[in-house]
Amino acid sequence: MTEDRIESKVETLTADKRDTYHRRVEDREEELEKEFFQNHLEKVRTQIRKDEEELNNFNVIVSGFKGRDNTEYTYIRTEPFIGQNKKNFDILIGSREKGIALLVEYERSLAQGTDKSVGKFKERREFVETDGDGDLDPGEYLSKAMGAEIKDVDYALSSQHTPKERLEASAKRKDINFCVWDLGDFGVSCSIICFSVKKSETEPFSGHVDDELEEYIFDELAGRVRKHDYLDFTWSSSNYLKLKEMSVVLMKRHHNKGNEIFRYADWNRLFAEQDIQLTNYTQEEKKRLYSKFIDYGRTCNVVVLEEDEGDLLENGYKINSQITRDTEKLKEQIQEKIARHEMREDFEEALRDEKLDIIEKLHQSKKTTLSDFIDPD
Amino acid sequence: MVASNELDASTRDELLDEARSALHTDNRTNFRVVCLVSDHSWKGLVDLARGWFDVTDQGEFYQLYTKHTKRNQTNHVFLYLYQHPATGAPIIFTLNSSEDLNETLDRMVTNTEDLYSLWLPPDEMGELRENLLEITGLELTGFDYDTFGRDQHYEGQVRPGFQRSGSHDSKDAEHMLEEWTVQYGITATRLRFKLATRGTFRFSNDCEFVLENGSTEFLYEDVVEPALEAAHPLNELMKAADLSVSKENGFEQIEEEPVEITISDPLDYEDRNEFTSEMQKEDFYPYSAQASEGSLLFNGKIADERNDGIISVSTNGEDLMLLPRYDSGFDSLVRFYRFLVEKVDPDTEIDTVKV
Repeated sequence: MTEDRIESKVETLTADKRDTYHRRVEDREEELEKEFFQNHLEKVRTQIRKDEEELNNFNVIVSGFKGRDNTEYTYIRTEPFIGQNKKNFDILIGSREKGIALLVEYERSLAQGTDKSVGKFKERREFVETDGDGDLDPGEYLSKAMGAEIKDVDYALSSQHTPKERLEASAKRKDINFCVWDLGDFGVSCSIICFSVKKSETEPFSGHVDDELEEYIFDELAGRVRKHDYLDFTWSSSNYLKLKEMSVVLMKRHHNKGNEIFRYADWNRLFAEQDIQLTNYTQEEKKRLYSKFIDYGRTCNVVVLEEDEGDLLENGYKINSQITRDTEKLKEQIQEKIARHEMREDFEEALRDEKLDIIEKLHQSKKTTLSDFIDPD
Repeated sequence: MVASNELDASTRDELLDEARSALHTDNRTNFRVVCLVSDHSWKGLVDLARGWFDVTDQGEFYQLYTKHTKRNQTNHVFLYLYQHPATGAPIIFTLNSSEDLNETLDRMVTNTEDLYSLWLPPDEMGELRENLLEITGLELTGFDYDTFGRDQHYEGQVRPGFQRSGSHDSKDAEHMLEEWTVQYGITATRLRFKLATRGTFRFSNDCEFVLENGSTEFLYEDVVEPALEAAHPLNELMKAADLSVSKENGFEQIEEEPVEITISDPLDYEDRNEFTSEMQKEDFYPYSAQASEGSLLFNGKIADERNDGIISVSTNGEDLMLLPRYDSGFDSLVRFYRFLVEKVDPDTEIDTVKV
C-alpha cells in the first residue's frame, strides 16, 4: 500500500473525520517512532556486543601466533578468500619457511548443532582441498596471501567450549578427522589446547601435519600467553560495528589532529599501516571494504561527502558529528544514527498499517461522535 | 619601563648567570625550570612550538615569545627552550610566573600529542629528596601532599581510608613528612627546601622547579639534572612501546612492544566499576571493552580524551599491559601509568624484564 493510496482513502473521509484521522496519526506516529527506535537501538547494541565477543576469541588466536619467538608459524590475516566473495575460514596462520598454510575456523558453540558446525567445517575444507569452484584456485590464492609457495594446507576447528565426545560422534557421522583448538581466555592471558578428533579409533590420523606446530601449541600455548585486543573488526563483522569503530578512530586520530576531511589513503594508513586490523589484506579488498564503509556511513548520515572528485577513493569525506572529544557521546550518537536508519523501513510499513487501521475504524463509525475525539486505545 | 623577563644569553651558562643577576636585582622575580618529555625530533618540536609562540634561534636554545592578557594587563612571556644533552629532554627556562606558564606553555603541552610534562613518580621523588638532604646544610622546609591509591591499610596507620591533601611548612618538615607518610599514608607532591648558602627552591612532581633566590647553577646541576635522569628510564620505556605492521617483501607482520605493569595491591573483580569510573575522571574513556566473565577485569581500548590517543589496556587486576593503538603518543601511556600510581596503587611497578 503506497502513501498515495492512503491519501486517496483519506480523501473519502468527511472533513470532521479527516481531522480526527490526522490527530490520531500524529499521536500514534510519535509513539510508534519511539518504540521502533528503542527496539532498533537495542538490536544494534546487542549485535555490536556479539561481534566483540567473537573478536575476543579471534584475538586469542592472534595472540598465540603474532610473531612469537618459538615458532615459525605466524598470524597472517582474518578471513582469507573473503575478498573473492567466499565465506570461508576465519583466520589464516602459516609458516612461510615450511610452506604450510593453516586455516582456522571459529565457532561460537560446538555443544549445540555440533553436526552442523562440523559439516560446515568439512565443506569449507573440501572447497580448499578440491581446488575451489572454478573461479578461484585456493592453493594459488594462499601462496599469494602468504608470499610463499604452499606445499601443505592444514586445518583447525576452534571454540571456547569443545565437547570431545560430541565432536567424536559428529566426526563419525560426518566422516571426517580433524584437529580441535580449545580457546581459553583469561583476560590478560590466553591459552590454546589442541586435540584430534577421529571418526574411528583405528584411523591413522594423528593431528596436525607438522609435529613442530603441535609441540609449539603443547609447550607454549597450552600454558598461558599474553593476550591483547588486537582486532577491532574483520571484513564480515556487522556494518554496525565497522561503522562505529572506523568512525571513532577517524574522529580521534584524524579529524581531531587537525584534518578536516579524510580520503581512502588516510583510512588505509590508520587501519592497515599504523594498526593491524587489515594486515595482509589485498589492495582490492581494502578498497572494497572502504567503499562499503563509505556507502553505509553515508546512508546512516555518519559519513558525509565534503569534496567530490568523482571517485570514491579520491573523494574527501568527513565524520559527521559535532562531538569530537566525548567518546561515549560520539559512540552513542553513531549507534543512534544507525538505529534511525535501520528502523526506517519497518517503521514506515508499520505506520502505513496504522493509518489504514485508523481509516478503517473511522469508516466504520457512521457519524462523528464524541468517541472520535478519544483515542480508541 | 617595566622590567622585562627577556634574556640575552646565547649559552646555557650565560643564561644561568643572567637569570641569577635578575633574581638579585628584583626579589619579586623567580627563576623557573620546567622539564618536559617529548617523542618529537628536536626540529619537530621547535616547529610545533611555532604554532604557539614566536620562535627565535638564540644560540644554544630557542626563545619562545608570546603574550597573554589577564585582568586588563598584557603579560609578555619569554621562555627559553633548551635540550638537555644527556637525556634529550626539552627544558624551559624562564623568569615569568607560574600563571604565565599556565596560560601559555601548559596549553601547548596539554594539546600536543607526544609531549608531556616530565613526571616524577613517588619513589623517584622520594629518592631525589633523600639525595638532596645529604647536601650539607640543606633542609626541607615544607611540602604539599596527597593520598595516592585506593584505601590502603598499612599497619600502624591512623584512621586509614581518608583522602588527605594539604600543605605543611615547619622547621621540622623532614620529620613531619616521614611521620605522616607512615601514620597517614600521604605522598608528597611538592617539596620546599632551603640551603642557606645557595638559596630557597621548590619543585613539584610535574618537574616545575622554582628558585626564589640563590644559585641558578646549583638548581640546574644539583636538582634539575638528577630529576631528569631519575625520570628518564620510565619515559624511554614508554616511548619504546609500539604496535605496528612491518613489511617485508610485501608480506606484513605484526610488531609489538607492550608496557607490562604489576599492580602490587591487586584489583578484584568487584573493583571493576570503581576502576573504570576513576579512569573516566582522569579523562580515559573505555570505548570498546570486550566483555567476558570470570577472572577477567578489564580488556579493551581506552580513548585518552585529553589528546585523542587510543590505547589498549588488558588486566586481570594484577598484571596489566598497555599498547599504543593507531600510532598514539607515549604520553597517553605515561598518563595512564600515572593514573594507576595515583589512583589505584602507589606501589604499581613497570616490569623492565620482558616475558
